[in-house]
Amino acid sequence: MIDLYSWATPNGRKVHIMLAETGLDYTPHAVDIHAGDQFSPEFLAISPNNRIPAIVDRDGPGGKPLALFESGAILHYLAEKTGQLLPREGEDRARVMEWLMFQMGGIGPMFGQANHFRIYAAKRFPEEQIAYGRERYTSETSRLYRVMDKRLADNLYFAGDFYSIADIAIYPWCRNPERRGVDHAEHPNVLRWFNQIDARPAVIEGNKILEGVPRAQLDDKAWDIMFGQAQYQKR
Amino acid sequence: MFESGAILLYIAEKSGQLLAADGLARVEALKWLFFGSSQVTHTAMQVHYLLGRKAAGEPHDNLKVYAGELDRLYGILDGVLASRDYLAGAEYTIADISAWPWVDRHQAHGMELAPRPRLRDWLKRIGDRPATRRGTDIPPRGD
Repeated sequence: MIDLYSWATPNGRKVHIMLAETGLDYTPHAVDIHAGDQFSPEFLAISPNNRIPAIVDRDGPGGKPLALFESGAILHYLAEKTGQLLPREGEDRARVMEWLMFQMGGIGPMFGQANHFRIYAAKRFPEEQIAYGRERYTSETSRLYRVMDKRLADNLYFAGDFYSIADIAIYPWCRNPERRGVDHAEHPNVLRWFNQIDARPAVIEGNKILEGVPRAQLDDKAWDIMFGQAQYQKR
Repeated sequence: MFESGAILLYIAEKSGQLLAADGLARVEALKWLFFGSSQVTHTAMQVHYLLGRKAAGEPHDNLKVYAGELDRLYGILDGVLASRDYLAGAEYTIADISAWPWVDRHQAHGMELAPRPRLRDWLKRIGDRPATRRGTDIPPRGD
């Protein structure tokens, strides 16, 4: 049994889809990041970086409970635990890790910053304060899309001709591309890949986990929690 | 192969070094490898980039925001090092190798290590390793 502490964000969805794909038994626990649930002592004990998603595997290494954070580490752990979606050796394994890390270090941070400046900051700050960040991260998002499209021109999936945790990590960040100023029609290989993943029964099932849970509004208090003093206060 | 974190993992598995084969020690190393390769690397890169723009007299909005986030991440690293010598536990692993070069640039990034004594000790512990000294000289330093 796995306790899932999460929220229906791109990083949360990675783990939701992984749980659906592997068929592991889990109990979801909503962590409303606009309400500040991520700063509760119980959650910080599991995820010291106060970020979702996190899990507690009651049947971890040596049969002991294991608390784990970092979405990529969770995908990797569940893949090794189940023997699914990550080849055990050889070039295929290296390719999965390569594109998984490309997501963790490139797509996630850059698309996330684009979201921040285009959606969150845009509602709060004057144009001159956000123009630079919006341009930089929108351009970087566009550059990463070209890398992705080129990769998928010659490969069915990111790691090769097989579906893996690299695809599971990247897919949620490709939902709602218009928010980041991206038109999938300009990236036909990404579009083909995205539609293929989006139609998988386990992806449809995973996308429903914690979806529709009532969430706090993004008001002044929520802004402070997400990006202001509450985020940076010493704990 | 590209992506530094993936290369570290590949070489660790190829050589059977710096990453436990199984158990909790392996999971801990992977967890902090991902933390180092995504959170620390990405945030330090933004600070590095914005400081470069500042030095060139170009707009560098949000430098304070990213520096604040980097300081918060330093705090997370300092916290985990309260109970262990290395990020994943008692043993030096690829997780340390992933985060170390960015923390090593703390002065250039305007970060204060005095309030993070355990991180400061960790930085020195790893910096003193002969292999670290050899590795940081490839190619000969010009930065």
